[in-house]
Amino acid sequence: MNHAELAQRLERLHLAASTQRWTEVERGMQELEEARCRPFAQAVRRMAMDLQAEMQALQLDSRLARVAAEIPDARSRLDAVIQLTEDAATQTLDLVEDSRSYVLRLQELAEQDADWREVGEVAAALRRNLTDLSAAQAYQDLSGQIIRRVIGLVGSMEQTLTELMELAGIEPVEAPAAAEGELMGPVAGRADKHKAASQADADDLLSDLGL
Amino acid sequence: MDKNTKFLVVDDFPTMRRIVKNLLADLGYNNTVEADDGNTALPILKAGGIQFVVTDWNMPGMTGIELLKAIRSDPATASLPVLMVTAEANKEQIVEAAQAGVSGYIIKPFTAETLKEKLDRIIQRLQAAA
Repeated sequence: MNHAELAQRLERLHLAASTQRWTEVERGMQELEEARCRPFAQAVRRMAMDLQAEMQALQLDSRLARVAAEIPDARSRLDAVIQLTEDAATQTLDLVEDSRSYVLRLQELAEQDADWREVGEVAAALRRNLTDLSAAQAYQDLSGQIIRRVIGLVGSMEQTLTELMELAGIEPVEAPAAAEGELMGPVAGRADKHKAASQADADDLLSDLGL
Repeated sequence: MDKNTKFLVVDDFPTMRRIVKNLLADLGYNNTVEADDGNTALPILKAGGIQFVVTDWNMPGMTGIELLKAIRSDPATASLPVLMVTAEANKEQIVEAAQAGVSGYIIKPFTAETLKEKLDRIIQRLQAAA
């Protein structure tokens, strides 16, 4: 809408208002508003279409959908890892506590005039426990395989999101620092290493503080 | 220290409570009770008889640092030894625990040797103060 056209419309509106034709004024105002917004709406629509076309060309849309669909699966896989490690820890502790009682019995037997047949039986029981302890470590292989799959998924998620950001012209940023007072949990991975204290650091720090 | 010393082990993970309990038993301390966070630990402390507290930091409900502050602010428990055993390894956190009056700080994962060393040190200081 050029200036001459705008002036003409405003004049017509002024005339309608001065003769109190309010319905005509309302309609004219609405038309004016729509006419002025149209180029902006068109530009937004064009950008959205361009983005969609580019996403399709890069197959980003289908990749994004696939990644999103795999997230619940990844979550249940990680839950399975918690269960696996918990079961293994419980089994290991059961075996250790059981073995501990056998070792105590061996010590008792050593102090007395040992009954060698019983010593042999206790040793056999300990040996069985050692075998079971060794077998219980299979959780490491299993949880490792599951976690590796989830790492793969997180990797493709990162790739897809990075490409999407590039397409949308979003600048990458540094990962935000932890909020004050937020607990960090166990030291894990490269990102944590430089900020974490070792037991020796902790000891030094505490002795500096008079502990 | 007396082998009958009554320990309270506070951790939300049963596995970790069991590990600490076994390590204490290996050191000859067989008198342990357990709690899974500060909220369950406090009534046990109120009931009396606990002589040593070993606590985790990050627990749902009441955390270890809140428990430590509660212990220090109650005259009945203010002088109890409190050993923090936690995965939190940030310097700020260690300083915060020290300022709240922690008696010792162990970073998970830890060895039996570290636990023994810290326990011995705390006990030594207690005996020196007595």
